[in-house]
Amino acid sequence: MESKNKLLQQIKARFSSRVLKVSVFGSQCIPMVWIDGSALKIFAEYLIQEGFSNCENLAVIDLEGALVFTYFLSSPESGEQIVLRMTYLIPVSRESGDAYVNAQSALAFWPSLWAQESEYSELFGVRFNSTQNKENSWSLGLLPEGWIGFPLRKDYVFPTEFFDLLHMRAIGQSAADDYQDYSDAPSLGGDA
Amino acid sequence: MTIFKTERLCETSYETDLISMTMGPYHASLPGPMILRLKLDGEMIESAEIETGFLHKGLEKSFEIQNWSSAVILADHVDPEGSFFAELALCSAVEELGELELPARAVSIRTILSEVFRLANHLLYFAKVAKAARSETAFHYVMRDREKLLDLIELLTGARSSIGFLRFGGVTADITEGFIERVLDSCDLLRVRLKEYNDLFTYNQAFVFRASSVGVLSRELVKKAGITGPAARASGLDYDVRKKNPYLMYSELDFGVPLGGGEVGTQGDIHDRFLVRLREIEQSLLILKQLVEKVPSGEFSLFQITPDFEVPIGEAYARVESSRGRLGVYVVSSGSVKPHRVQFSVPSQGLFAVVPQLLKGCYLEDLGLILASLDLSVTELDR
Repeated sequence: MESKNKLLQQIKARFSSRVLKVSVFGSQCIPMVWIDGSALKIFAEYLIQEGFSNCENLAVIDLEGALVFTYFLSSPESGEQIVLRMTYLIPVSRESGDAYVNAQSALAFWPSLWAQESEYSELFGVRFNSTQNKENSWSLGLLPEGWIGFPLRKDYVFPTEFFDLLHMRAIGQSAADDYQDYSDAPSLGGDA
Repeated sequence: MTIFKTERLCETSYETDLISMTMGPYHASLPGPMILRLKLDGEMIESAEIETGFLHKGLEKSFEIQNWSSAVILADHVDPEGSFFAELALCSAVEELGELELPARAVSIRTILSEVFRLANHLLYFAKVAKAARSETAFHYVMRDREKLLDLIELLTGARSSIGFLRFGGVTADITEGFIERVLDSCDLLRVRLKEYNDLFTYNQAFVFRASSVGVLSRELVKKAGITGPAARASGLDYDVRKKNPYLMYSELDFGVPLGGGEVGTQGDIHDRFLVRLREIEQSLLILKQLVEKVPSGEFSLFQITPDFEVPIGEAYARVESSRGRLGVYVVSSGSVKPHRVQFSVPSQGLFAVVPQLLKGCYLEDLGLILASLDLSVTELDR
């Protein structure tokens, strides 16, 4: 616990103006630091210097009109953990074509995040500005070509059809509705 | 002699025009629906590109649409082979969120099932590698013995793979009479079989020749790609979630974590990845023996889960050691009957990232064995 507090104190002392909030995560009270998205580079460089070279997970959630990015970092040598968090607002107007969220990429610091950043760019509509050469020998395309919308966002509306193919069932529609057109089909078991 | 470095490829290049070859989305050598585009210089792979995403089923979105009471069943679909591990990770995260203290018997049952699944998956891995090496005899022997473990799983849970057995706060059913004895019998059988496997296959000259110093995964590449699990341990990275962040009963158990040492070739080659899993089978047998000797009495679950089950507001992150590596789950609850977010971090993400580099400079004939040795899962990658 002492080392966790010491780490948080060091971060607050060094980056006082860039730290939005300091708290703990989960029942294990892992130190958690909220920062502004534009400060990712300086924090990442500092944390890697402190031994946090391993990024276990990058989680993104849509929370009240913003995307919250959570990096779960750990130090292979000391076993310490820290959670780094930042928020990016989702643009309000879709019609203007600004539906994508522009975010800082962490590939330069933790290259293992490539697959997750690719997933989130499709599923959440995030444009990561990375100066690193993206791994172009792995095409991770989860959504079919021509898919409209970002499925993991909370305001996502499921399509009822895709290229003239009817969707299985629109959300809110019951299974019984699928059989409405079969009322004149022959009965298999005879008359009831 | 197998060439696996690009410098040597240049020295002995056949200087032919490059051939483009596309494999997939369905191919016997591939681990699942994916496309592999190769550029071949004669028989040597000059470059490789992969394309995945064919098995994406919107699983993480499905969690948000269904209730918490259905979440465990959905978690089965992350990886049907190792469905238990995804269930366990999800239940651990939700139980941490809800500050639930599990009954000791439930913890013991979960730990036993965790090791039985690990054994079953490692045997399946053995079978896949044997199949890729064209050793049909070893394949059939191992699949026959794996059936004993699947029978054990079916005896306890009612199903062989997608079990839907865990519940928040415990497990669905208690251990039945005779289960412990059957676990011990299976452990004794596998101990004998491991020796037979070694005699038949592990140190068979044909397999050693094909597997030693082929598909070498360096420690630097493992760290860069974030690979965990047996593939990382074969390259010398000493990381096992059961030791570093113990969960269930692992802090009380005495077991080792085998590492690769380049016994017959180079550290991190196919043979090392294979040997590490064999040794993990030995360790799992050791763990099971310790577990079944002291199954505590008591309840197997805290409460019944109803369709209107709610999880308190908050978030949690849990990780487990699946048979492939670290499986992490991040859950967020808004206090309602439906999850706000359930996100999985799977070990196959790191493994797929190294496939193009690993294949570069190898012979085409080694492709199937290299892919089988990595233990890739397209299902968990795409979700």
